[in-house]
Amino acid sequence: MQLQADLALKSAIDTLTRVVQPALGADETIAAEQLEMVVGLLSVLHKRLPLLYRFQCEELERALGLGDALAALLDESLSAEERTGLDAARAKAARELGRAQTGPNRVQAATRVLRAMTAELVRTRYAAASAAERAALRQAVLDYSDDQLLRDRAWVAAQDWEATELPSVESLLFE
Amino acid sequence: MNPETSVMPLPSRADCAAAARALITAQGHSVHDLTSARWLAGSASHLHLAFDLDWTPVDAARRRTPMVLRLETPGLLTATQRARECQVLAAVRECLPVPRLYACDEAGAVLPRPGLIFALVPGVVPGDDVGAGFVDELAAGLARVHALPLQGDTGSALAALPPGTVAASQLLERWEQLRAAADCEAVPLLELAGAWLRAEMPHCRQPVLLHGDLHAGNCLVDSRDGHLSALLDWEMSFVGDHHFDLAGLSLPGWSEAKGRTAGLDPVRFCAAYAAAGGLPLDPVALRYYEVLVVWARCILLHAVSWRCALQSDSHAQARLAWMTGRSYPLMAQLSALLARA
Repeated sequence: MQLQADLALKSAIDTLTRVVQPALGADETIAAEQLEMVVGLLSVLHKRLPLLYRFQCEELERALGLGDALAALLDESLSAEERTGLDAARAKAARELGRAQTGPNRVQAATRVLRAMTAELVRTRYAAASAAERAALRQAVLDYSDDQLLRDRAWVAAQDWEATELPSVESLLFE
Repeated sequence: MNPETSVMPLPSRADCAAAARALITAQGHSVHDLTSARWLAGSASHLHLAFDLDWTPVDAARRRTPMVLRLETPGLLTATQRARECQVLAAVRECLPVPRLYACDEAGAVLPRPGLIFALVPGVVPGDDVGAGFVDELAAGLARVHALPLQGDTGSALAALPPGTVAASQLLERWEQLRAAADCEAVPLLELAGAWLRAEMPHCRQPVLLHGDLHAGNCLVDSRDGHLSALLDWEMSFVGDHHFDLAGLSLPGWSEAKGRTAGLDPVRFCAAYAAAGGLPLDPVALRYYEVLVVWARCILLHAVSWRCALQSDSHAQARLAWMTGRSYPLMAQLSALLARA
């Protein structure tokens, strides 16, 4: 997927800086000020977005540490309800941290490697393949592509490229 | 306040106007005034400044002429050579209406960047109500372009190529090189299409001069009488199979507007082309080049636009980033074409 946050943010920042900012008249002080804020906000997001997942996981780890510490510290004074609630929250946090061993960057990297390998296999095998083998290769790639493209197209549906309606990306991702 | 980028600002409108004036003057013409300088939006590959020029051309009377300065965008993978474009425009001028060229600055010696100055041609992009007259004129003009004799040294825009698969091979290689240069994520569908295109290459009996980027968005209709005002953007012109141009024009939905076909019915256009004495049409070759045209457009949007949005000094980075989304419905179109092939 090409139209990801990194591309959108960088191109937005550069365009606002290169094209929009210089075009504002000298009298447009409010617009200029707000534009500077917008560029600043986007820049912060652009710089930090790759770390967001890691930040959130670490935040949860720390919150769990505090929960564990308070559970030990206040053990004898906790009501039954407080104990149940705190235990459930700590257990949920531990479960989520256990699931969070990977992150978006790693998932993306693994996808890229696999796509590169499969694309290369298609490229190197097709030329020497028999007619039947080519047909089978073609079907495998088209089947995969049609499924993936439906999701890619649904992802950018707000850009309004399509003449017909597509399923929502939510329904496709959580079916 | 932006610490994140070190972007170069655009050349200013005033600087561009002054440079345009200087370039026209350098051709030996007398410039009295340049007014109404304004940016034209809508292009990601070039920067366009329209203006009115009050001037006295060499060997002609004083006049006021609407013109357009077109400047190259630095860092684009699809940068083309203006000298070749000038050659093509000179050659096709007798075939159909094209913008008149006034000046060329190949190296950016006078202009802030390499660029050209054209006449500003009035007209609108054809809509669904485009008339038969327009279709017939465009088809006849295209037939005449395809009939132009080719000559010139290797490297000339008009150099002939031998019959066979040389032209198609060169075209495939050019687009594969562009995709490799963009160095973006691999797409198995694009690899499959490339492999199919290599395996199914048709024999071209007679490579001809092609527009190379023919679609409704590059046509202008005179809104007063519905006739062909001009065929624009000859920078992608190359020598190859005439089916490439016909495939480009007959494929729907290349323009940004949702699913717009611009009234250029493929069956009608091919019939008009044949009636105008165009080269014979082979349905198998036409289907091949439909796949090739869509594949190339996918590469342009998915790979090239992405890379240029990330790294070029374009004025239109946001547009380039936006257009990467267009690659997905196009890839769906490519998948459908391959499934039927």
